[in-house]
Amino acid sequence: MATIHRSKRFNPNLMTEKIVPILLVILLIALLAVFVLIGLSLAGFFPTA
Amino acid sequence: MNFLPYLSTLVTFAFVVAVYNRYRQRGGMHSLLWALGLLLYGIGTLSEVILGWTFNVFVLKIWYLTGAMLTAAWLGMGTVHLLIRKGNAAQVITWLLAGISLLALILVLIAPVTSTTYDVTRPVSEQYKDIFSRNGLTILLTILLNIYGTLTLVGGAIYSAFLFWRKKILASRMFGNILIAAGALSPAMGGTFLRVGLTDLLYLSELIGAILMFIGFLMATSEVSEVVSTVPG
Repeated sequence: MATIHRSKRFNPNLMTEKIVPILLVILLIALLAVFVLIGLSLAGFFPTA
Repeated sequence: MNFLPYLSTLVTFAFVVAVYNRYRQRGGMHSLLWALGLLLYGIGTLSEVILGWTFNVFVLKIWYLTGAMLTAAWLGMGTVHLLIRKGNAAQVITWLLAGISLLALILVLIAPVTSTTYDVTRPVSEQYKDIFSRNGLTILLTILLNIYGTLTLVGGAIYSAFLFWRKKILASRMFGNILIAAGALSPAMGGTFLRVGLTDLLYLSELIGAILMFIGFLMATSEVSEVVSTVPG
């Protein structure tokens, strides 16, 4: 017996069409924020560090 | 707040076992390197547990080496192996990272101890700078290793999730990668907050990071193909 697998595609819905891209952009901004904070701390903007 | 490293350690070592089991079943250098990165993560949080009981300079240095210097870089190295399949660039970078890790180990072990005054009731993240002195190269390596690790681990997970979203395939892997990216960002932000003077958030960020990445890993590695019918072969 051989098996047939359903396509791995998913049906777009509100979650995947709207929310996922927003989540990805938020994550990207957070990643950039980490690097900006590291840069600012290296530049001496946070004297307590 | 000092119970948080106990939970982080439990979650992280369970995560190490899960990732290493996947490596044993399916192979893949990326899984092995993720297991190594998570082991370093767990050693870092275990060091926090030990330093909550008693003070030991060697444990403090192990905490700094694993938690502050090596974890993110080795986790990111796993992602690099997953995303760069052609050529031997990933292998070259791995050997480079191994050399830098050895250098980091030596630098941390020989770092002079400037004080042995330690309060076990306060987070180690508040006190380590007063106890051993880091030279410029150690600080530079810490920053570069964390930038490399965060960029590759978080950036790789965001990139993978974006590819799944664009192709509209493998929803569980797409959401799994989103959770991995968010989980990896959590301790990265905790470490950054530490750098800007907010020392209390590190333990919480480690626990949140371990939980989110573990859930993301379980989602991303769940069986996705669905058998819908069988035909004679």
